[in-house]
Amino acid sequence: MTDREELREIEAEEGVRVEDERVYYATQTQLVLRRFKRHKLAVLGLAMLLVGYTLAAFSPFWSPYDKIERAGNIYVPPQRIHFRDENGWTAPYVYGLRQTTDPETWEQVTEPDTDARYRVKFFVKGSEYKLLGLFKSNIHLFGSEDGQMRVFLLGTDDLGRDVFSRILQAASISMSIGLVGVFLSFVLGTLLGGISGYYGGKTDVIIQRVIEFLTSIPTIPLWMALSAAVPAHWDPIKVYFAITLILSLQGWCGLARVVRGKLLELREADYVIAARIAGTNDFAIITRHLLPGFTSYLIVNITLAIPGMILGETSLSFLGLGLRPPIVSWGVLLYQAQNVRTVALHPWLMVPALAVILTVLAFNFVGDGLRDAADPYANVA
Amino acid sequence: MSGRNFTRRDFLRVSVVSLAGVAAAAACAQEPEIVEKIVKETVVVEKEVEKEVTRLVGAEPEVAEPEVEAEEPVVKSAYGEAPQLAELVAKGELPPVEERLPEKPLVYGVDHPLSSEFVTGKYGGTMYVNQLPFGHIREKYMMQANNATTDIFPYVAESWEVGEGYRSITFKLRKGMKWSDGSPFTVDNYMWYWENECLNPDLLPAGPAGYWYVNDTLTKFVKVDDFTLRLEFGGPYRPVLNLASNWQTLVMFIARPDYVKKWHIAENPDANELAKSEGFDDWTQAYLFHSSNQRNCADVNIPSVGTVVETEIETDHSTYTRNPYCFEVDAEGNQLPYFDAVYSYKLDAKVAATKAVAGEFGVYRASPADIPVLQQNAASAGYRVLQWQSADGADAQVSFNLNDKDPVLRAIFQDLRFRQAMSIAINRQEINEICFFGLGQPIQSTVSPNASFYKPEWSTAFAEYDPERANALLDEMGLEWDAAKKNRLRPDGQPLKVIITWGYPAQGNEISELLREYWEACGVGVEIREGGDYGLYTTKGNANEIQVSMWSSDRIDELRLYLPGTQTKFNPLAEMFYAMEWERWHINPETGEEPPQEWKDFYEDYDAWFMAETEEEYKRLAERVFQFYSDQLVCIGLIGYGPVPIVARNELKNIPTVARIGDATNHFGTSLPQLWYLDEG
Amino acid sequence: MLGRFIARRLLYMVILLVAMSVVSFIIIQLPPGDYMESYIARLQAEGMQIDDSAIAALRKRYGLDQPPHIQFLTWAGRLLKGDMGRSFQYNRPVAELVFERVPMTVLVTLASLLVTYLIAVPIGIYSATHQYSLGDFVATAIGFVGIAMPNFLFALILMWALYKWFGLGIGGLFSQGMETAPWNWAKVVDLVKHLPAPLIVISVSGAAGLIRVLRGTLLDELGKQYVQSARAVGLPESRLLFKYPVRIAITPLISSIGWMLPSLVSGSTVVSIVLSLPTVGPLLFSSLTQQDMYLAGGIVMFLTFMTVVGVLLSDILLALVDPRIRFE
Repeated sequence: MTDREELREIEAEEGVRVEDERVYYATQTQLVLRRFKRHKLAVLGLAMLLVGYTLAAFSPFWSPYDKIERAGNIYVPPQRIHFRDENGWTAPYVYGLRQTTDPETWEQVTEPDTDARYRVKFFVKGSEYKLLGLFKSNIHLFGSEDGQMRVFLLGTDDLGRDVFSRILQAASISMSIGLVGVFLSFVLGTLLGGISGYYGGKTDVIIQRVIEFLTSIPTIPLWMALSAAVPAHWDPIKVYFAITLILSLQGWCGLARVVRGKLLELREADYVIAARIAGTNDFAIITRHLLPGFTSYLIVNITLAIPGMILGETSLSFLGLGLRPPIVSWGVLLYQAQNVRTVALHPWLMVPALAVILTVLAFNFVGDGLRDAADPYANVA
Repeated sequence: MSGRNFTRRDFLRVSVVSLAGVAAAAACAQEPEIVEKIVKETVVVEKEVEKEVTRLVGAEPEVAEPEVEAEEPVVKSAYGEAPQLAELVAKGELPPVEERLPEKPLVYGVDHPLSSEFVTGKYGGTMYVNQLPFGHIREKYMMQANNATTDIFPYVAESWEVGEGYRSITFKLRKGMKWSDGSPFTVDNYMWYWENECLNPDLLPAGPAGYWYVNDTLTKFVKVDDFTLRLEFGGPYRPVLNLASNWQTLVMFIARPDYVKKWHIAENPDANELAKSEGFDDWTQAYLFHSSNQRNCADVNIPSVGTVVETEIETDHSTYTRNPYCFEVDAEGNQLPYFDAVYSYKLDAKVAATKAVAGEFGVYRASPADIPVLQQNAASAGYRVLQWQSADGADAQVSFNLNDKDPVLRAIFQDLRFRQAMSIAINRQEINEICFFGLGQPIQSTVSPNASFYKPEWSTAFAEYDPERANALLDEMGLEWDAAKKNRLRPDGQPLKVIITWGYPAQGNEISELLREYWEACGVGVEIREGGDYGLYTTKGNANEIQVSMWSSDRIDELRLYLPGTQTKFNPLAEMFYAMEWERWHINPETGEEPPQEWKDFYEDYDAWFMAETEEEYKRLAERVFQFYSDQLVCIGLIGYGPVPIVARNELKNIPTVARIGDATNHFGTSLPQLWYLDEG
Repeated sequence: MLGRFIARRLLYMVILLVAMSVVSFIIIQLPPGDYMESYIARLQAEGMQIDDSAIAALRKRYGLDQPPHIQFLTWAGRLLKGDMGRSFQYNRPVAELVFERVPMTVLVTLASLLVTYLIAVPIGIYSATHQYSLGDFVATAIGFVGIAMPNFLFALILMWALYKWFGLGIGGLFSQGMETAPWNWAKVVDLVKHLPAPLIVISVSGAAGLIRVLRGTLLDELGKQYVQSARAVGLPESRLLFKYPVRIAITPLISSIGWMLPSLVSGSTVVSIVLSLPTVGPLLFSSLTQQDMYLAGGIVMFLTFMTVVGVLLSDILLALVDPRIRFE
């Protein structure tokens, strides 16, 4: 056994990092990254988010149809795509649909029409859309060979709209509502928390009391009052921003607390005192010297606030206060799905919940990983 | 059995009729003791007669229990009553049933014909419901209509008589009828309400409501005797029969029990102190609380003449129990109702729908969309799904706001061609298939076909699906397409866009989505808003903030349309909100906005209709009024007379297999829930 | 020092309550219309036409014709005397309506708090002691699914599943016929049968947050010198864990109860509506939609009062535990 091997063994037993040397010379970012990578769930979460936002950003392309396009068949259950026929493997195809109404129960019975086969083709022409609001196109990733609405990966809803396309197109609203809302919270939170923590004294007391006050207003009446105050004639985009504002009104408080706490701690640090003596102005001290000291905390906090916003949007919709059709968000989709007939007969209409769960989980995992990674020198148990 | 040709009921009627004269004479003499004595004698005679009958016929009616009869020496009464009440009677806590009933109770099957479906029921059981869907069984009106609303029958009033030229009406009340606390129910109770509530300036500063004035003359309440009430009008008042037999107009014929008097300043000088001691500001508040017969707003102890009386008013439920003094009996003479109690949840619609699917309600009016899930669970949860028909002429209809706040839109909406185009742009058959299982009727909104002045063309006017013609009409109006040919442009160059605010029905969102597709195909952009809770929707409407409204059209039966004090959906102040400002002007020319001449002419016809003196005039004006509504397409009907699934527990009997349901039928009211019973064994 | 601290907090509490009464009044008044409007609308829905003068009379009778600030002063003045006013909807004193629902609200809230801890503490400890292990990931993932699931849908699905598989009634805390029954053993058993659904839904959404806090603090503690030395001395791992680190890590959880109580009450409103629980939340929601302003105001004030008292208690608790706070 060489000395080196022996050393490694000891290191392993002691739980000390093997390549301490590298740690000592690594930059902050490298350290954070390294630690973040150890949190497998966080890495998974990050991957999920990347996929999610890519899907959301280019949703009209990924989805075969527009969110309001109607097929002739309502309540079609998720459809199987076939890769085999009687001759073995073949290009993917779906069967046509035969729908009948049960004369007793009035239920829509959907059966595959095995006589009619439709190839699932890629890059087919369909309804026109604008990618990212800029590029006009009518190419969809996949669709039926004859250009008709025939492929329903997650079935259709009560009007015959494709659930898969709707979930994807709703993602762009739902996943961005969190970002916009958190951005607002972030600006307010860091600004007011920063002022509160840096100046301390009376300013601090007042801001702290305001925060406590805001957080102790019960959410439901606040939401109801604010939603009622949104004028009826506003167009969907304005309503969208109003809703984000409502959601972030209480959201910034938590962030402000974190910022303040950290600032209180840091402002007594030697390097800050040094900067102050050197005559650096307050703004520069806050932005140059203090903020970098806890950026990681801010990031963590934000990551964990986004899922709250996404869920908040669905709750608002539940209460009938949130976004409304024709805007399609996950909250809107779930609002239409939360009734007993969906649960008992058309469970596929609840799939948007899965999208919400996955997104919220991903954000939480990433947030957790970031938190662990935020302090790279912390001990590992 | 051959011996039963002469039924107990027949006999009863003979005996009661013969004795009624005696009692009436006694009542006129105003000697309470004598009345009492006579009543007692009557009872004794009846009891003896009953014994005789029982012996003669030799058979016991199904309702009674022979063993009990055999064991107890008590003579069987002519009337049947619930076992609990019989127990109380036996303990001496309640007078016997024949003393509790009026001399001539309302006998279902005799005074009010029944279909052959109805059978004599069994006492017992609790009915579980949501939001008490048959509220009228505790609130009574003078007369009662049948389910088809083609006929009216006695209710609180034993009989009635319309005076010459509809200038008066005389109601005959039931002698010996009592409030649920046992106090007598007489004309005085009506007079009290009229004199101390309607004419009391503290309670009603502006005086009685408008419908009490005919030709600007206030109606006169005349007490002919204790059981005869006459109303004298300032002119011909044709709608009066409708007024007296509609649940909406209950507010017009209110009797107050003596119970409420102690909170009224006129009867109790210390009423203000009493009110304060109960936590009210003054006597008017306390009086309103103790006298109100509004749901949720009442003093539980207020006596009523209803089939059931309230026992509990909680935030999440109310309970009701049988009224021991109920004046209604079945054909066998059994006092109604059959069920012991009603437990009424106050649940949010979605929770209620779930509970209904799980079979937790005795009866429940479900939404058509839930038919499959109800059918799927019916067998396992122990209920059946009856398929009733909506009595509404439009389960969904839309109106364009002719007084919209946006002047450009207003001008477009006012152009009749626009409304015609929007109406024929709608594929009603598809809406029917998707939202009503194809069971409704794709028709235009108008009066019910059972009205005497109905014209079939009103139902078909602009109800066909013809998008090409719709586009042609819009082109003709000069609404140009934009460059991309996606949207039409308004005269001011803006894209033409309308906002649908839907308040009802439950499928409003789906229907709106379909409308959007149809209208956008004609270049009219659509946005959809959910009106929300009823109060919220009407608040928006009253503020004239609704561009395109969506609601149903109920009250289209002749009996319900012709009511001056109530609103049909053709009234712009009701849920359609299509010409608020003009209607305000119509009510009071100093308010609102002056309408165009054709509307002024219409208002004249409309007002004259309610004053019509002859049948001929009535019909002529009605035709004009509804022709105008039809021509103007004020309410664009989509689907009418749709399916209404009724969830009924398997043990619930006597509920009709098929019936109409809606506002016009007083919801479940004319399906006579007082005769329903629970057969648990 | 502690006395002065408490006095200061008490004074602040009063100010907060006053400010809150103003804000809650504004919030309740913000939606257009008032109770009379929706009341009359409902009468009209039943087909009755109400004269404008009758509406004015009703408004006058209930003081709704006054300008808002006068209405507020009347309301606040009564509130000071302990009179919460009367509910328009139920025509009963607000206090009666609210306190009728307090026992069940407290029961559901405390029970779900307990369940939250039962879920969060073991998962938190496990995932801190087994950081980055598969078990940690699985436990955290399960804990987080609770926070990720839109709770109204979860409630609906759970309610349906319990009905289909266990024959449990839909919604509420009692079986049909039990609601009005007097309290006895059977009723208690019935209640216990109906509690799991709301408790699970309410608790899982709160658990994730606690797991995170607990895991974080425990990780910090475990890295400290005293744990190292204890381990060096050869203390058994379980004893080592539960003697100090866990106890310290749990402290912040306990002190957060003050904050959690009211948020559990109002936060569970959505769940309570779906499950139709006889708690304060649904009553608040319906009073707001009906614009029953005194009832809504009363409940909001009640919730605020609970928050304020809760915060005060946790502040005092913290001050007792951590002397530095007193001098802040």
